[in-house]
Amino acid sequence: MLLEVNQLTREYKRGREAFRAVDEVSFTMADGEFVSIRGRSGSGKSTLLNLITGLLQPTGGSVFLDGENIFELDDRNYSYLRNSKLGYVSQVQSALSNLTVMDNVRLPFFLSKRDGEPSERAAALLEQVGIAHLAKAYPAQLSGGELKRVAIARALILSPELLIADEPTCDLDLQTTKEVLEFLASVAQRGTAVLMVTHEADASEYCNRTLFMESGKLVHIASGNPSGIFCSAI
Amino acid sequence: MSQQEQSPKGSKKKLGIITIACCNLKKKAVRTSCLMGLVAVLSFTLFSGLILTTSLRGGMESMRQRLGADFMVVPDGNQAKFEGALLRGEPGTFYFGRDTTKILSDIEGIIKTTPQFFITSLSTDCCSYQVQLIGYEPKTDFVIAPWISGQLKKDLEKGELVVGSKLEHQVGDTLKFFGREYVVAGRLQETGLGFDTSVFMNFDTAENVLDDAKIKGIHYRFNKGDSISAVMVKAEEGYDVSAINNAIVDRLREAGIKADVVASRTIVTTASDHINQFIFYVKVFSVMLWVLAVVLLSVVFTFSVHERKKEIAVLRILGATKGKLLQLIFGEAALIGTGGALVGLSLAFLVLFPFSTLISLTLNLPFVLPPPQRIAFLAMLSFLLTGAAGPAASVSSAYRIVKNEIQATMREGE
Repeated sequence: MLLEVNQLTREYKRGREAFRAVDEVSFTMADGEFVSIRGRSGSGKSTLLNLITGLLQPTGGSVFLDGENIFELDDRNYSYLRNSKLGYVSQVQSALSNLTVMDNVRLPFFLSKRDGEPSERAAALLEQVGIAHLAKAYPAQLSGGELKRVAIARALILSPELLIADEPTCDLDLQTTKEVLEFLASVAQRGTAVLMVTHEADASEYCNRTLFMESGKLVHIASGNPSGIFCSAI
Repeated sequence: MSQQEQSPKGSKKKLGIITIACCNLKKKAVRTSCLMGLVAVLSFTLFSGLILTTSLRGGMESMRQRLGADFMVVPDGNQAKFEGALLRGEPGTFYFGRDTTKILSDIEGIIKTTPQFFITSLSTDCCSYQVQLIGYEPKTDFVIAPWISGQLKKDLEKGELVVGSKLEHQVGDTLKFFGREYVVAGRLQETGLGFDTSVFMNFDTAENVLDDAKIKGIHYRFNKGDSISAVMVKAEEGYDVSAINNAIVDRLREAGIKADVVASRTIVTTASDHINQFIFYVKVFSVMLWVLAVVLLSVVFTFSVHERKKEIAVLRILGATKGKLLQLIFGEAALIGTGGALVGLSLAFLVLFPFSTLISLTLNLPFVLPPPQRIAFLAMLSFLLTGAAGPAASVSSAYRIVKNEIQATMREGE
């Protein structure tokens, strides 16, 4: 199994009371699977993703990626794992403003020791996401949709085993949303597992499974197109 | 997503942490320039301060070694002129009777006396330029002759001159005084005193100069063979300054000679006090500027790191280790520190060395530039200290960044 999430929990203090943003969530993902997580705002979706990527430390539970418990790795090994096996598309604009689009996409290649040169692959990825003509532009010159495509190309530069996308279609128009979802589905078909948090009901059409979260808990798992179930569940 | 018809030509440059740091600094050119300017001021001040204090200490040491005499006796009312000639090479002429030397040599506790006389050349056609000419008596001299013969390996002959280190004449050149040319037989090492801008000759040569001056119609208050400008006095080892000083004053008064007595120790102590005071101000100013610069840099780096939390979080998400983040933060600070330090040092070199004579004249204190290897050491020390100011100022910001949870950093950066 590529990803194993076991009893994952993150507790916060709100005043004197503790509440669980993620409450004993467990699920697995196989290679090439496209899984979406849906739920209302504040249901714990983004926190769950942040725990899986190691951006947050859990209060309890474990995450195994490719058989390794990510929370037991030291900084060097976990940084390498994040660099080489995980691709991450953030909910917010995350391109580095002082680097060109091309350099933003090439950047992950240089964060660990590697031989070779990533420019050709970066150029190919920019073509695939449709912004090859913006390679020399700076993030400040790009629209929200273009920035999202930069983030996707950057997340794929090292051919990760798992691509994690936190609301990748947030603030995008319908046409661009469709293009992004189709692209992510094609990424999954090529063997990279995709775990995506989304509010888009239509997104489930592109996924193998959809997980529903409510108050930090995983309340439902649906296969195929579960948009109707989602509506009735909440 | 749509396929694009044109493939971008990607940059082939490596995107190491230092490259990213350079990109960041380039994109914030104004901020970078201001910070580098601050470090440059710090580096300029530190290096200049070190060179000034070292040069003044060198001048002080040179003065101690070169003065040679324990007392100097000059005509009444001419102490300031004499000190001006001795310390700063200011041309001055003053005379009294030559018998003063004999009277002083008879005082108990005085073991050596030797006369000197001072002539001021003119800046007209008859002379190369206006300069202080110092005549000494080779037979009795214990002040100038030892270091002249030490450097020349022979005694100075009639018609020969030795020039101070700041006069730009080489051995074999000629200098004209009152229409006659004299050969430069040697150059003295730098002393930091007025000697550096003076010309030395023996009494025989000096008499020639005076004869020629008289022919040209210039009458110094001087009776040939009977007048001198100063008497240098060497006392016994462990002498009592005030006792000998009083004995000199009494004996000259008895002989009806009005004179000022200058003790070397007093000159050295006075100069030393001035130098120490100056060095104190330089140190205080340097330390204040240093503290101010580090505080300002700390504030700027703290704000800068704060506004870049998201960028740092993104790098972390992409797989940068904490070490790499530290490299980025310290790398930027080090680039600013290094760049600023180099600019400051270059400016200091451009200002200090071409204008060292002017600086020494302005300070009115003995001033000897240190040797090149010492200057190189001080430059390296200043470079390291100021270059390190940037990284030192960013330590706390860097620490806060790497200890934060990435997601918290990302959120704070939004």
